[in-house]
Order: sequence, then C-alpha cells, then structure tokens
Amino acid sequence: MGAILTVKDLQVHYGGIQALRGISLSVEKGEIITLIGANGAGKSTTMNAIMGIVPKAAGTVEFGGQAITRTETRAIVRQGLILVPEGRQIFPGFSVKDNLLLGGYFSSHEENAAELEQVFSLFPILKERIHQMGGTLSGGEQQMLAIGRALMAKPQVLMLDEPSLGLAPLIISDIFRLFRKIRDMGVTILLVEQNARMALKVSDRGYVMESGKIVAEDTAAGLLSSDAVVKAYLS
Amino acid sequence: MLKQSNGTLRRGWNSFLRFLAMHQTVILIVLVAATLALPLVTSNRYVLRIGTLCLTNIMLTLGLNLVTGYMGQMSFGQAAFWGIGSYAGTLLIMRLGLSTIPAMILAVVISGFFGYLVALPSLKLKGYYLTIVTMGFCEIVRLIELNWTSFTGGALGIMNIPPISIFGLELRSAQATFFIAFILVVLVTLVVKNLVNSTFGLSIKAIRDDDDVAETMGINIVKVKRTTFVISAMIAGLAGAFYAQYATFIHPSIYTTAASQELIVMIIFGGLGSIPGTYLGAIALTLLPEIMRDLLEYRMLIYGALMVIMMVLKPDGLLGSLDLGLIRRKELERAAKVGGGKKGGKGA
Repeated sequence: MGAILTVKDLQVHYGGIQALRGISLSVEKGEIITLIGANGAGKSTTMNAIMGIVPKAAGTVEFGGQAITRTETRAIVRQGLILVPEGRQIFPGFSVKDNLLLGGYFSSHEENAAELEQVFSLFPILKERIHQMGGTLSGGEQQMLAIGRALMAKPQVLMLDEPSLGLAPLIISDIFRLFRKIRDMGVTILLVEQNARMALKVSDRGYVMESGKIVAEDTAAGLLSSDAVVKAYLS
Repeated sequence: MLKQSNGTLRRGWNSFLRFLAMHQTVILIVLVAATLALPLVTSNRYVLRIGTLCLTNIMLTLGLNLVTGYMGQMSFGQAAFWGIGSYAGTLLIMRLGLSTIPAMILAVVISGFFGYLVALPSLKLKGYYLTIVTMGFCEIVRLIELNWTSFTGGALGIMNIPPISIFGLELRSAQATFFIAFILVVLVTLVVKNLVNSTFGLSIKAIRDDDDVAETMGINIVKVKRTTFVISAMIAGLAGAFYAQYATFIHPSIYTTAASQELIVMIIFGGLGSIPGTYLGAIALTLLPEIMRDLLEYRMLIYGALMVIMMVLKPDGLLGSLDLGLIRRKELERAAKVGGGKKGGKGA
C-alpha cells in the first residue's frame, strides 16, 4: 500500500502568529483518518496548507509520491486531492446539478454522467432535488451536495473540514456512515472534526492536535480508550 | 397602503414572469417576426435608425453582460473596445481597401487583442482593479483617437466611410443595414447563450459567486476571467466595425467612458446575467431618450434616479438572475398537481 499523502514538518504563519509548528502526518491508501483537536488547534489550517490555499512557511507535502508543496491549488485538485471546505460553501445560486457538474469541471460529458449516477446512488435525496437551487437545500442536504460535488472530481483522497458543523445529530450519523461507503469506493478520507467521538468511530486512525502541534497519534480505538484524549476531547 | 400596492405590483410582476416562462417559444417567434417585419413595413429612416441602434446596443450589452453580469466584474471599457472595433474596421477598409467581412473579422481580432492586453495585468487581481483599469483604458483610447490626427482624423473623426458591402454588393439602404444588424445580433446571442450554458459558463458564474471556492474546484480563475473578457471585447469590436460602416461617420466623442456607463445602466436595468434582460435594457434605454427628446438634457439625471430605484427594488435588474426554465418547471409541476387532484376528486 504505502502512504498516499505525507506531510512533513509543515509550518504556517498568519502574520506574526505561528499557526502550525511542524505538523507531520501520513495517510495510507484506503484509510479513514481523523484529525481532532480544540478550536484554534490548527486543524483547518493544516488542510488549507496542504491544498495550497494558505502559504506554507516550511515543510513538505507529498501526494501519490509527488511533491505538491509548491503546487497551485487547482493543479492539486486535478491530481485527485480534493477538499470539502468548512461551512460547505456550495453555490447557492446554482442548481444541484450545476453544483455537481462544477465538481466534475475537468471530466468529459460521459464521465460526468456516470459519476452523477454514483453520487445519486450515495445521496438519493440529491436526485430528487436536482433542479432546485443549492441555497434552498437544508443544511444536511447542502453538506451532501458539497461531498457529492467533491466526489464528482473523482478524488483519490478526500479531505473534509468539519462536515458535522451545524447539523442535527441524526443527520451527522447518516453522513458519517456514508464515509465508510465512500472509502469502499476506493477513496481515502482525511477528516477534521470537533465531533471527535463520532469521527473516531468511523475512522481507522487519528491524530490529536493542540496549538499547532500533533500531540498524539493512535488507532481510532486506541484514542477512544485513551484517558487523556477522552478527558480532553470526548467528555 | 404602500405595502398593499407593492403586493399587487409583485403579484402582477410574478404572473407576468410566469406568462413569459410558459410561452417562451411563442414570444420568441413573435419578437423575431416583428423585428424582421419592421424593415418590410416601413422605410422610414428614423424608425430604422432607432431600430439599428437598438440592435447595436444589444450586441454591446450582451458582451458587457458576460463580464459584468455573468462574471461579476464591473467593466467601464466596453465603449473603448467598441471604438477600437470601429476605428480598426474603418481604417482597414479605407486605408487597405478591405471589404466588409474581412475588415469585420480583423476588427474583432484587434479588439480581442486589446482586450487581452487589458486583461493581462488587471484580471490577476480580485476586486475593483478591473473597474479602475477599464475606466483609465477607456480614457486613453479616447485620447489616442482624439490626438493621433494623422491616423484617426482627430476630433473631426473619419467621414464618408463606405457602406457595408458583401461580395461586391453595396448595402446602402436603411432596411439592408437593419437586416445585417439583426443577423449579427442573432450570431452574438447564439455565441453568448452557448457560452453561458456550457461548463465554461458554469465556471464564469462560479467565479462571480465565490472565486475562492471556484479555485478549489480546480478552475483556473485567472484564465477563465481573461478569456471571458477577451470574448466580451471581441463582441464589442464586432459591434464597432458594424456601427462605423452603418453610421459612415465616427468620431472620438462617441466612445467615451460615459458611453460605457450608459451600457452598464442598460444591463443593470434589464438584468445582470440574463440574455432577455440584456435585450430589454438595451431596447428600453435606447428608445427612452428618443421618446423623451424634450428631456434629453436630463437624461443622465433620470438614469441616476433609475439606478437608485433599481438598486433598492431589484438590484439584479428586471430580469436578472432569473431562471425562466425553473419557473416553467414549477408551473408545470403545479399544473400537474392540480390536474392530478381533480382526477383524484372525480375518482372518489
């Protein structure tokens, strides 16, 4: 197998503040990995830095054996590393279908048609809402749309930033169950979550972040049973 | 009282939109037929002149709407590209002796080239830079037209431009030029319509709505912005080359920043990001000054007031960000439901 995404000593500064103080992590192909941590620990920054949305001060990122440390965001997307950003950020003025097609911006017509079917089989509700404006969907549906849009680009690795944000608990567990299904489709998943318990339940491994550093790394089961982690993030 | 009349107004407007949505094809056919009939029923030069001006403005505003309405980038440069198209077409014909079609094609290419020059630095940046740059560009182009007397004729402009000739056939009559303008409008409309409905069009609209997210979709936003801007400039160039041969007289004070502003007012009034809206705005605001000749001096005042009213009531313009297809689908669904309900009632 081998690591599909490797991050080494990643550092990010926001002005004078050091947001990431040397993050190293690796994601194996076919894994579901969760990054947990309190507010401001640097979880989102890690993802944005990997995607090249936030400039890196130091460190390297390798994806599929290729260095993408200095690669532009759109080129990274083309290589198959896709981010579902925090707060979903679908296009409210676009229909569900157009939102999805935008995700498959680089694919041919036929590829998109096939990919659409796959997305609809995962999220049947989107098919019902196909002509509706993205902005008129409920929060959960919008999250599904955001994930569906990312899947349209046929990612090898899917990064999700706080997919549970602002959603009802029942919908959260629905969406999290789907992550396993998506993994079984051959997509590696890297999750950032504050809802740590839920995220770890579907994950294989997890990293715990604290003020810009990784302070713990273990299997999901290990983290779920670790006293320190439970006390800090799961109680 | 105000609320009540507002409600009535809204209901009336909505039912008007539903009517539009349900009868799109018929309305389109009627409009095309009426337009084509105009030169057949009248040879009145004044009427046809206004008609041709409407068509020219439709071309210009369709191009502008691509950049401003669909892509959300305010451009004050449309009149400059219109001017470049006019001068390029004219000079190619008068100095190099080209005939209309090759001159038009070259004028389009030249306008596109200048569009690219403007887009090269200014569309790398986000925000208001394009607005400022295009304002400056419009003024630079006007000053060159005004001061490069040996090339452009200076303030006097260029007179006696030969009329449109296609395959050796000179089209002098007002009817013929009206037809040519109509054909060009159809051509431009098809280009714009296909463009905005394509995947490329999706990326244009995505940039308008949220360029950061568009970037994370893997869209090369700088390239999309530049390409769209160049296409818009080329459309203006086409309108310019046509206009010069139609008017047979061009001068720098046609192609001013004020003219760009008027084009912007047209699309803001008619509808940002809407082809029917562009038509509506261009036609209404070309006719308005003609109908209100006595108020001509106050035109900009009226435009200003109109802008304020539009910004408050309908910031996207009358037909802006309107999906007639969606309204139609909803209406059909509702009709189906009502129909189904009736059938159910009968069965019971």
